[in-house]
Amino acid sequence: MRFLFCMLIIMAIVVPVAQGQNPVSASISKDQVAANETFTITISASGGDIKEPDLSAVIGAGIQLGSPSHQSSTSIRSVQGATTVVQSRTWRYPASIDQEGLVTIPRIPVTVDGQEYFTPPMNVEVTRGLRIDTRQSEDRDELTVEELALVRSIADKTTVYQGEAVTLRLRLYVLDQYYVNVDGPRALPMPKAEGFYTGPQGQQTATEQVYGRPYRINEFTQVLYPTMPGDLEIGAWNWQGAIRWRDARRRAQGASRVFSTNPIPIKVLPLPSAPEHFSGAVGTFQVDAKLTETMLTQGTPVRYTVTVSGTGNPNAIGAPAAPELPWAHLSGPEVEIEQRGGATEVIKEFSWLITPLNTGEYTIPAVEYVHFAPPIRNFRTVRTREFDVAVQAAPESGEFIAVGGAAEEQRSRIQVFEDGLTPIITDYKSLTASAGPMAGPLRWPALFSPVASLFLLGAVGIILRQRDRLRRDSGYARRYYAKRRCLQQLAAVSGAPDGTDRLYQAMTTFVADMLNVNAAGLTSSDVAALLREKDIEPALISVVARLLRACERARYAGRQAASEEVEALYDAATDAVHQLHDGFREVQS
Amino acid sequence: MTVALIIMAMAALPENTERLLYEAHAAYHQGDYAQAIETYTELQFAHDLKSPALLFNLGNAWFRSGALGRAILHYEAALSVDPDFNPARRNLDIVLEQTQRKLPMPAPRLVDERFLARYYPLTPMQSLLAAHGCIVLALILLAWRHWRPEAPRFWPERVALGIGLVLYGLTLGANAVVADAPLPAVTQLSEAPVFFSMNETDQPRFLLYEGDRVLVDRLEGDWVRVVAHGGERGWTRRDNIGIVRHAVR
Repeated sequence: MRFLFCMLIIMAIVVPVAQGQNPVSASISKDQVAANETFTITISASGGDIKEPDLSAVIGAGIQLGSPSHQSSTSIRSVQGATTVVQSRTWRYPASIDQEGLVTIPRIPVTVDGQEYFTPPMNVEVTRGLRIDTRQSEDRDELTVEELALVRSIADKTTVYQGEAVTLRLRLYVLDQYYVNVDGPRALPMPKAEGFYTGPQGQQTATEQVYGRPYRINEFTQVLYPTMPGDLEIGAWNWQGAIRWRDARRRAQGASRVFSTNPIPIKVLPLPSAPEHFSGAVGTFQVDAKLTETMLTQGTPVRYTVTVSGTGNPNAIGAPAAPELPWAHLSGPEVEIEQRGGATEVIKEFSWLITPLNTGEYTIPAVEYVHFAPPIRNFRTVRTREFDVAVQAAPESGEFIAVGGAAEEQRSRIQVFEDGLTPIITDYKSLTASAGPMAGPLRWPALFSPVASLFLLGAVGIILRQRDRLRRDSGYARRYYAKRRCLQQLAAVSGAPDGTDRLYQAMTTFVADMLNVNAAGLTSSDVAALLREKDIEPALISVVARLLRACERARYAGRQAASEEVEALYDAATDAVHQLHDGFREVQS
Repeated sequence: MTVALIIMAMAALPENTERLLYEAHAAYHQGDYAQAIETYTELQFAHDLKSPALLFNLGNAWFRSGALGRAILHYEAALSVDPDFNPARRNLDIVLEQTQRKLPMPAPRLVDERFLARYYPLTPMQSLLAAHGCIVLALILLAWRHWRPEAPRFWPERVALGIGLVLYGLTLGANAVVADAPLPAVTQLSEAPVFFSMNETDQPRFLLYEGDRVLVDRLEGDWVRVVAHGGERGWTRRDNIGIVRHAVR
């Protein structure tokens, strides 16, 4: 007894722990849904090696699943030197159920690290439709989500001949109350129609009462032409969308839904054996012919147009046989198609150019057009009217001009007289002159010529600005000219017999000019004092003072300095002038 | 010696050109249009003559020999060199009357969807001249302001310079557009099939007739993609059409 009690205690502890280690889990977004309402089944698993979930049991339970979205992440754990790689994967399946009642989503097996784990079973309550809070009294009909928006697929015929037009109407009904709106894919998918050639599409809107309620209808039309006999099918119109509405308290509500119609079977009958000159057209057609004029001139082309109009596949409307005209040259036909969007009505024009080659009175015979007419279940021939024409001789001669599509023998017969052509140019200058290609692309030198103009403009601008400043700013002008004069004087120092004197004079004159004082009698001490007054850097003042003292020593010693010494003084003086110029500019600014 | 030879060659060249021109004119007037075409073509390529008058004469000779497509090609070439060359325009109108469809040339602005191609009205040369004009005006205004210090404002030259820079930018853009623009071309065969793709076994999409003027927006080996009047596009053999720019070179 004690042993049994201990075992129960151990089981009570171990089982939850074991359950807690299950690496697979699942959840559903809603446990109560309307029939065909979309909800989400989320499956998560973690481990080293995770296989895809096996959903065959879910599908077997009558649950429709869409394409899942998938997320995965990988983490690396290192515990006491041992490294393990753990993956986490999550699948989200959009699902819907069309049967009412309590539906159990069965256990879903997922293989993790070679071992099969199961998600727990989950229950979903499926109702006929979600009731909407419309604050209507209880005795009135209840409104469900399904009734807010619905789709229908209608074909105008289900038994047709091969090539005969079938108009498919896809209708989306949206309740015109409670601010109902439907969000669908950006481009609604069209039903599959294997064995059909797709014709024009159209779209229109309307309003209609359905089951006593007002609906806005968005209708998409698609014309289909069966290309083969037999039992064909226009597939179901399936797409997923979201319905949004406002309840009686004007609160925004929404629900996802899968919209679906039933496929439409179409029986396609083969055409009976075709007569000669069958144009290939299937439908109801009329033909008409036009001739631009009946009084013709030899060599002058006129246009002859046969118009085929009616309902049918425009691409299957073949050209009628051209009239046989031994007295004229015929070229063409040129083809033009006019079709109204979304409709099966089509107008196709075939036009020929007739160039009369002989004079006389002739008849353009009627053109026959043979097509298959489904209403009479047989082939039908329609005819254009005949045209009586008279061809008069060309005014210039018995020769003629044959226009367009001419065979080589026709071309060799072309002669043109008195055509009004401007004669050739024989002027030598005109023939050897060349004109620039005004409309063509430019060559590189021309293309970048404005850059040179811009440089010129910039240079002129800089020069004029400098001149302007020199004219307006006396302080700047004094500094500018003083420096320039000083540098010119210094340039004359090297090689001169009295180099130190000249250098001394250049430096004192420069400082005097900069400070607008008299240069006569300035000594090195005076210069240093003046510079100190102007808050010039002490190091620079010291350099200038040493320079001037060196010059003074040479003068008072009564000897000329060596050329090397003068060169060194010159270099130091040049540097000092530049630094002093900058120093004065900073001080004055 | 070399200089003497060069001088002699240079002196002989105009005489040779003049003689060939005389021969070509004589052949034309005698009705020997094939010879006239050959000589004019030799002058065009061997003697590097690209005058609109020579292209115009070639157009006349081709027309007299019965090749409407080549005649139209050379008239168009003459007009591409000098858009105001009225003799070529006059004869072009006469020859177009004799083509099967008298189709107008598709407007490049309708084919080329780039903004400058559609909406910029100036040619690159006109735009460049306008840019130069604005820059020169800015220079003159700058100088005037300097020599006439009482000139009150600083902005006229800046405005002129700004407009000049904008025009220069537009010139560069328009030049790129023109260099890459669809090429005018003329159908040379009596009937040239145009296909959906570069595959002659396909059903032709539509037919071009001799003298039909089209735009070529792509060249791929022996094939060109043409845009006909009305915007229809398709591929045809390069030999079926003559490109106007190539006729000038």
